[in-house]
Amino acid sequence: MHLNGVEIEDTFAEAFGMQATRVIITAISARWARTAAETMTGFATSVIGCGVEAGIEAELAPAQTPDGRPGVSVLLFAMSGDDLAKHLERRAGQCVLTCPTTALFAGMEAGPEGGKPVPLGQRLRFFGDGHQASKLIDGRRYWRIPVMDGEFLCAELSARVKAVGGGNFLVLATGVEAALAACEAAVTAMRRLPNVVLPFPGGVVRSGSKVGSKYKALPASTNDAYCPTLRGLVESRLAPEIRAVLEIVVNGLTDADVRGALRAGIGAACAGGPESGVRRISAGNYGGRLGQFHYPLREVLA
Amino acid sequence: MSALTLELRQPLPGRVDLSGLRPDRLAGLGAGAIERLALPCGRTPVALGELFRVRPGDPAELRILGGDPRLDGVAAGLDGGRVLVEGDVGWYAGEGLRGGVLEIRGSSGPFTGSAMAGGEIRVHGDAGERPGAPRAGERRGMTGGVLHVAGNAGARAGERMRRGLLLVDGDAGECCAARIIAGTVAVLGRAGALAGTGMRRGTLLLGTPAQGLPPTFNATGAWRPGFLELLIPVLARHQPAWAERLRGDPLQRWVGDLATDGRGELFAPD
Repeated sequence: MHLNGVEIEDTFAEAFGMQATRVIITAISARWARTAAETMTGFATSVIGCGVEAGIEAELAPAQTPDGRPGVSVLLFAMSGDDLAKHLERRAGQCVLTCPTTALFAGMEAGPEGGKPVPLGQRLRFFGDGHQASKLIDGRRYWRIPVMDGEFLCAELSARVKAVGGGNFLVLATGVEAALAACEAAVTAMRRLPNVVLPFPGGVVRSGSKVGSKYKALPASTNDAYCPTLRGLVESRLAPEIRAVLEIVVNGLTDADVRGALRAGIGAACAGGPESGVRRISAGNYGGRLGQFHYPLREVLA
Repeated sequence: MSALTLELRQPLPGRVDLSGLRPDRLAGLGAGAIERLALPCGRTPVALGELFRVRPGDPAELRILGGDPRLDGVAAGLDGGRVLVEGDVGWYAGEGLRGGVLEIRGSSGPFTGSAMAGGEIRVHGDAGERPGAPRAGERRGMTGGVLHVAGNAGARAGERMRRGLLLVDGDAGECCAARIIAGTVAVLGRAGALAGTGMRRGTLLLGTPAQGLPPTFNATGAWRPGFLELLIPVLARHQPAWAERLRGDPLQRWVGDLATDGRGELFAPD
């Protein structure tokens, strides 16, 4: 199969079940809301080293936020509900509580229709040292924590839902410039979609990994089959003209969200055709044994 | 199915207690059985049919036509459904309400919504003293729900409230929000002397400049708290004037009552 003349390999991306939550950060300006969100989602590329994978989902206009100020919605993904709660609280406390003028709200509803509750301000409130106050508004509890610029307003709970992490595709190109340009186009297209985040730097990963390593301590190591400098040394998956490979990883709230993001991303990456230097689209998987979600590229694009 | 309607036939012979007349207890009763219900009235009970003309209908939608300030305990303990009164009611209307809606298109007597825990009460006219407050000798005031008085409220409105929202569109008498433990009291008009006296936590929001506060309240300066932006839409849903009254500007804030816990707060415009 070819898309715009670019070969789509007959393989599949393998993704995992995760737990996810959405929170909404607002602030006095879009800039400060974004600052808090970038801080909160920094160092959140892979659960392997960061405990949580997170990203900015969207910027929100004042009319879209609970308190009528500019805001940002953030999605966080972890391997279990407990992990998610732990890292959410840590990041909310270190990155949002500390950031001037911010307030933090739930971006998902708990309840029979929605997800399970996950603490947001429930324990952060103790930072108030006894001066914290709660306010029950329209059935939702908020904590008001006195801080030096006034009050940090924080919803008591958010909710978590089952989600999908690790949807991916690889862009194989004749040079790193071409691979990067294609990935940037893909990231732009994918970030327009709701319910997904691309947790890696700028949405792009260069250090794709395989499971395991020759070193006992490492659970993952470099994806040697796709490293151009290892051609001739290991069993390479790269044709002679391929000089660079980049990967895009996408986490989404549902299977359909990830599927839609992959379709949009691959479409944008291939938009320039083979003349742009993009020659092949592949995907990362572990033989289908590890992840519950499989995205055969050709089926996703069909 | 249309509403179950009780129309007052004649002036009441004395104070009549309607507190037993709840939709859940009326369910399944025919018009005859409802007319035979005995209502406490002074020392001698009186049959409901003698006082009211009964038009059968859905008891979850109860309408009382022609009120009387001696009609006590209307919709007390209501836990769902809707009670509408076209006229005035007496004491203890909506006492201990847990759910549903009580609408009084008239004025209500003392202890309206006393110790209510949920649901919504709307009084189109004035409410007597101690709306939402505990009965004499009781300890608990409102613990939830919305009590909205579109007219004026008597003294000690919201006393001993722990949760919920009390809205007064007109003026409130002295000692409004007295001894509240938490919750929100919002008075659009003037609040009488000693507003918030003895309050531990909770918020008292005034729509006019504060006057005659207890001496045990301390000013903390002008400020606009973030939670106000969440609260104003809720207030405005009941009384649109709130949106305009609290728009934009910082509010003066006091903390108190320092004679007790002192974690309560009072907001008022300049």
